[in-house]
Amino acid sequence: MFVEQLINGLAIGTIYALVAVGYSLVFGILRLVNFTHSSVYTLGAFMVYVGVEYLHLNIFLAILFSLVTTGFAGVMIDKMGLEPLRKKGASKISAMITTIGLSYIIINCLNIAFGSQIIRFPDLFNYGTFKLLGATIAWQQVIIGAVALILLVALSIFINRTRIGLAMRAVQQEPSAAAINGINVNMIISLTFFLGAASAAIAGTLIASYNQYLRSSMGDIVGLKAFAAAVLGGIGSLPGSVLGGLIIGVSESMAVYKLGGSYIDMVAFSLLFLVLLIRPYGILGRKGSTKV
Amino acid sequence: MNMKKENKSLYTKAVITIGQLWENPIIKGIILLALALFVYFLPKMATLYFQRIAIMVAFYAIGAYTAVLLTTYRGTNYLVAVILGACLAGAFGALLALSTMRLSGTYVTIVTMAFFYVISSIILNWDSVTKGSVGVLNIPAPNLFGMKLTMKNGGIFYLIMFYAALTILATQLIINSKVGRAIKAVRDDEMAAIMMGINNKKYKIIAYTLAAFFAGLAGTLYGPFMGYINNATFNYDICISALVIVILGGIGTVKGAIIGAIIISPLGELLRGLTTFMKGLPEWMQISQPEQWRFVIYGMIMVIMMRFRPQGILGGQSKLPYKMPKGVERKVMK
Amino acid sequence: MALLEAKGITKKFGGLVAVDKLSFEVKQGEIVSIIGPNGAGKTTVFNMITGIYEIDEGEIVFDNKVISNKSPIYIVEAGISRTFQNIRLFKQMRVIENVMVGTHIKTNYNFFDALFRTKRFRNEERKATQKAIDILESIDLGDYINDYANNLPYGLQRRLEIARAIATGAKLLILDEPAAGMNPQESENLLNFIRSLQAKGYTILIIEHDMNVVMNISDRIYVMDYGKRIANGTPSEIASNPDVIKAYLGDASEILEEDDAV
Ligand SMILES: Nc1ncnc2c1ncn2[C@@H]1O[C@H](COP(=O)(O)OP(=O)(O)O)[C@@H](O)[C@H]1O
Ligand SMILES: [Mg+2]
Repeated sequence: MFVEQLINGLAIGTIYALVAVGYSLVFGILRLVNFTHSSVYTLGAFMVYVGVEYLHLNIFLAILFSLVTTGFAGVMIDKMGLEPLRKKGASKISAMITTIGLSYIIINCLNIAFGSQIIRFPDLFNYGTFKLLGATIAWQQVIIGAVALILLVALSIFINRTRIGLAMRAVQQEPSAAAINGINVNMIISLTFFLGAASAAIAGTLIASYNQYLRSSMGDIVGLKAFAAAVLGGIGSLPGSVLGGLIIGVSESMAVYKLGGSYIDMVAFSLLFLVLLIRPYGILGRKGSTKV
Repeated sequence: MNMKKENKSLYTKAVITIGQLWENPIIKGIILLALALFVYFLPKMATLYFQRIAIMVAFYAIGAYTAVLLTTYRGTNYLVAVILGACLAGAFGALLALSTMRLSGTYVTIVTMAFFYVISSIILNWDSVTKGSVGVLNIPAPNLFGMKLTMKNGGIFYLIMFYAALTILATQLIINSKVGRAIKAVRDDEMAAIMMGINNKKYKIIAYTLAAFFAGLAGTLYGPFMGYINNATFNYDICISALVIVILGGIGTVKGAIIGAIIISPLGELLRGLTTFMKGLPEWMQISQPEQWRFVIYGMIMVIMMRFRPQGILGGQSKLPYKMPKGVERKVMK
Repeated sequence: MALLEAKGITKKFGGLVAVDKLSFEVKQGEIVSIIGPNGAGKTTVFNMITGIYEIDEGEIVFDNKVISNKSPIYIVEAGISRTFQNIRLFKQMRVIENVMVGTHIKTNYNFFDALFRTKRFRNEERKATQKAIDILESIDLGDYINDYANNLPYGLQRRLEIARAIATGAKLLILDEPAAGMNPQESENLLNFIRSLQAKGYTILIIEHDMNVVMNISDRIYVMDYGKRIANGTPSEIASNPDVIKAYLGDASEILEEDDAV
């Protein structure tokens, strides 16, 4: 049981991490908690469903379709919702409330279109099980974890090694200086939203396939936990998000193993509470110096 | 004599009829109003209105459950139960204030969201006490000094009006005092407030406790009004409704909260009515799922208000002159 | 007998020694200026006096009480109040409310007095309001009582900050670049106002870059560079001090271009 739960925890944890990275990316660049992220995650899974069910695409094309549409939706959220606010010099709170509003619109439109009940979703990675250290492990879990991990690695290579990634980091550090150096800041922000949304779409698809169902409320709790993971690790820091995601994933499945399932959702938050009491800026976060 | 009596019963009837027509929107509106009013009190440490509201709803739930469980299963006197409910909520407020004291911005956001989540999770899972998703049924009507206040005799309606008046009065009295100014000052610029000799921690705790107390008080109304409560009573939807009221009306003004409540509360009924009305129309013109449409509209209100009038309809800076206490005068008149 | 005395105070930020064994004193009724290039550590000194920063070494004595490493609230109550280099008003409050927040510690009633509008509440509130109005009149802000702080023009915001500091009942006012961003007319008015404060018995410690203000107003001047005191004396002594001239010429550009770290 222990090994199964551990593997399970790691698999779920990498998915939390993938979603958490999206929060962190946008936070790093706009200092804004993007509340649309969880609805974008849900949208991503639904777009795969639309691709398979309505457009009769094969699963890979359907995922590609979802990546493009969801990524585009992410960009539109910024272009239509947030960029005008930035131009106006509106407050952070206005921007955050706008994201809450947009998130409500997205989720409830999904609700109107598809209903709020459970919808069956294909199990994409049903390759049976194998034995490890006497435990029976589903390939599905391994593959899900591996896909999420590969994406995380790719994302971090992209951000740390490419020219565009460099520009992203420059905008994070000092938007005005980046603009002076000829970086198109709005382009970079759009790209950030695209990446965040696309990785959330993949995460949503993986989870939907893992549970073998979809529903419009699927993002609520995952979104919150991924946000908790980002904060736990130190928001704005990519390694922090990954670490936070893994910690939450593993401790949750350990809690199920030890305590049973009913309090599972509280584990993440209790943990967060404890960590923040000791380290108010998260595990890998740094204290921003406030000058007086 | 007879005429008078008849008049009176006519009047009572009228009140009851109006009450029944509007009872849902009005009563819910007033309950939400109480939440919305004190949201304003929570200091900046709860960066976002939404978080402030989420914790307000958590306090609201604490108040509601305490009162309902005591009156239904223990037969506790209604007034005592109400006071205990509000006080327990207040105590949780103080506790939350203490535990978030060291944190800043985003971190407070997540902790307060987590607080909301933990409270709802406890309500759902602590079956033996809260009855989980089945909920508490057959909540007795409030009994005030031997008088049963029910929906039928309009008593609940008056009770709720009384609470609303009390809440509005209390906010006014507190805002226009040294305590209210200190809370506002800490919210506007904590460092500068400290430099004025204001004990920032003390006033944060006061603000949280007050907000929690009044949210708890509003919560004690919900049970007797609905007759039952369960875990779903205190979900995100109610947070969102209160948030939209605040955003639409304008945060920080009593008038704004009232206007927001008046506009927003009947929306659900209205959409439900519209749905029934449209049953006769061709299918593509029909609206099904009025609840979902309500939330889409809420979302649009948020986005549009933030874009064009972030301070709300009546929010922002008052144009009226500052109300001076009696006996104060300007020496140099220009 | 000095009203305020700093004895060898030091503040380090990591490896940076922002204030280095600095000593100075301000006597009752004096106007003393601290000048020095940008980054010299002046604001840090103010933050040490007002209890925002802890002091690594040394001691500060005010009115015969040791105030170093006491809480800011203790220090305000002891009688020191300040303004900030970057204006820090309560922006969403009215001008009069800003000043009334200043009267907070001098207003004696509690929560329940406020809730029940007791006689004590009414008396105290009337007194506080009257005091706020009188202060605002004296600083020529009487016509702006009802305005919200963030709608005031810059120069008036600076003045409002001083009004707010006075309202705490402080004996010593410490002003961090009060003339920053003011036009010559405004800083002339400020100069006169600070003099009138001195005439009323206030003691004033001031950081200022506007040499016209500094030279005209100060009884004595301390000059800081790299956290150390490099000179002190009367305005005329300072004006002819070779060290001061060197420190300033070396950083001429920075004097013109003030940073925005408060
Ligand atoms: N909170 C802080 N953390 C780190 N360094 C600081 C802090 N406050 C001030 N400093 C540094 O201390 C030095 C002195 O700053 P300051 O007192 O603001 O100078 P001045 O007011 O003379 O322009 C500067 O190098 C500044 O960067
Ligand atoms: Mg300075």
